[in-house]
Amino acid sequence: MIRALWASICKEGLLLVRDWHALLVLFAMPTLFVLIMSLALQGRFADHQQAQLPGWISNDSPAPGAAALMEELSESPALALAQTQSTPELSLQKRFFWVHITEEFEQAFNGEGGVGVLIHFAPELPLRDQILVRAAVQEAFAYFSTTLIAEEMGYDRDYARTELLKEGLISVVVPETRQRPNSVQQNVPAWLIFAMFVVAIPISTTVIQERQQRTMMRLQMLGVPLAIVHLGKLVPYFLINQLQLMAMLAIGRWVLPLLGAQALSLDVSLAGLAWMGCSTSVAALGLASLIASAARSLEQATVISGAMSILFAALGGIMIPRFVMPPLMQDLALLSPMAWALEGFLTVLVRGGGFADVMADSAVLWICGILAGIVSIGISRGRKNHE
Amino acid sequence: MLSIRGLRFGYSRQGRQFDGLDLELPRGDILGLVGPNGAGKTTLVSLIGGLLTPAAGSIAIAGTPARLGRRDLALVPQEYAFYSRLSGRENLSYFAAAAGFTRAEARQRVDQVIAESGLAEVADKRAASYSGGLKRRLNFAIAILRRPDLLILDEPTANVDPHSRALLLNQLRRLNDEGVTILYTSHLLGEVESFCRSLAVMSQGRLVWRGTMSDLLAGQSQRLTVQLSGPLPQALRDRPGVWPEEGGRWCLDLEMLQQTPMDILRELETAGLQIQQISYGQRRLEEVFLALTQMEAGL
Repeated sequence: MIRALWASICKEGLLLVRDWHALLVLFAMPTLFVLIMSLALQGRFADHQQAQLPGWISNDSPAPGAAALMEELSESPALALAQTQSTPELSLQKRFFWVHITEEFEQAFNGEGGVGVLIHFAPELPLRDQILVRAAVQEAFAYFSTTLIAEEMGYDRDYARTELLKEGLISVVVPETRQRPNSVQQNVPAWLIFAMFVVAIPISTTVIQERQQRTMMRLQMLGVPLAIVHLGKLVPYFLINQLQLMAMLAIGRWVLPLLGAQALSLDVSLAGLAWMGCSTSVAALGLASLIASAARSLEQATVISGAMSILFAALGGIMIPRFVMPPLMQDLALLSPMAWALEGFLTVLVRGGGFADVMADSAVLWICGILAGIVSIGISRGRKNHE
Repeated sequence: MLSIRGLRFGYSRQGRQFDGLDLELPRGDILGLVGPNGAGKTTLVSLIGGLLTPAAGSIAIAGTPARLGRRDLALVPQEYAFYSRLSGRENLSYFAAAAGFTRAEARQRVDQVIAESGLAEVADKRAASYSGGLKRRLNFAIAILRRPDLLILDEPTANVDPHSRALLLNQLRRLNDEGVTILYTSHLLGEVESFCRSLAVMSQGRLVWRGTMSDLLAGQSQRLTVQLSGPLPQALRDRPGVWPEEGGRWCLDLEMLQQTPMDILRELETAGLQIQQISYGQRRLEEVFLALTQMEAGL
């Protein structure tokens, strides 16, 4: 049996190496996805505490207070302002808002009517960013206004900040376990997981081909147990999954920085990464076996495995990160094994988690893989006398 | 060699079943199993191979129940049951390993089978590049790796060129001479007629004829087929046992007409007709097969 198993593994490896379509799907496609998505979404994943929103500023007021406000605005950590003298063009590609200190600033500040500051937004700027700009401008105005009060009381600017505005009273804490990934940390494991589940396509199609061409029957007649036949097929794909893991991590670590993206730090628990790779592979292979035994034709297998991969990816936070989903969708995402896999990888890559920290996520993946495998064995046995 | 007793097997969806099928195949025989599509030939073959489990009855090979993994049984399916991205040699080596050969045994046996099957020139090319005939030879070569005592072939010469067909049939005859019992299913009745020693005709899951080829054909009445210079006289045309055939020929059943060939020829001469072509003999297997299976189907 060992010889039969080894021969099956070698045969399957040879078939796979000679199938360049499958190799493209398993390696080239996720590589391209990682490169494109990591580079394209760099800005979207940037930490907003450090990222500055680019905009224009102009001052039409001769009042000294307007100049002081302009100075406060230019010091805002949330805004990156460039001065303009004329009405600027606003677009998401360049600068997408304009803070206009009007001629009426002093009059408005003294409560004599008019509008002191106008904020113009590019129409396509998301509401969230509009609120952020408005809050930053209001914060700058609060500093300006409080500094004026402090100076009237005979104190300086620092007193205004520490004693009047109580700077430091409010502090933001993000637990390490809830840290958000950057673009590379999100996209490398995400598309790796997608690629690992895509093995369902070559596995299910080759199993159905073997069933239709009766090579499976031939092996059964030679006395080779079905378990050996299937194991001989799954082992090479398990190894392919581990190769995918190494290839995608290498791309994140060494290739993406060459293209201007952040490098993926591999100064993390390698045991945790390897365990997540194995667990994800178990779930992917279980689902592939289930599709292979349930589908009755090549067309069915291709459509079901392709659609399953895409649906699980969409739901599980591969295409759209879970943290930007509404709460209901974040809960629904847990129906996708890809969500558990991604959560495990992010625990290791982003939050510095180790082997023990990913046990819960990996347990779900193992259960999913084993259950799918059991159901597929049941279907295969049930099919025996009905075809 | 093969003994099937009271075999029952049903498909719940199609409602088709074997209901008490009996079949005996003596050691060393070559049995042609024929029947129209859907007669149950492939299902019967799968039951013999142990791929399906009968609802009732028994199938015994050399006195022991049929099951998967018997070393004395091999099946050549009608599909190309091998891997087209592997070469012929890689396919044979893989199936030899799966069959339990050691590495050295496998190498020796694979070389032997490649030579016997006329695959030496293409053995290291991918099977996908083989012609239909070469694919059939490889399909067959894999089955005989283990030198079975009972060899079952399911439409082994479909889409095969005459050269490959002759090579395959010669190889089968050689195996039969060595004592291999052969069960041969085919749609090519001429091939069955010339190759098989005995025949089993199946229709709708039932065995409608079992015996030797000569028994089957001997039971058929003699007939005369003629091509004439003019139309057959109406009086003769209206008699039972006379029917037209393709190409303007007429077939006359001597038993039904209760006449000798000489009587018929004299009658035609009297009617002023010249005989352009004449044949005398039994009905061909194809005609008997059609008559048997149509009778069974109630057509």
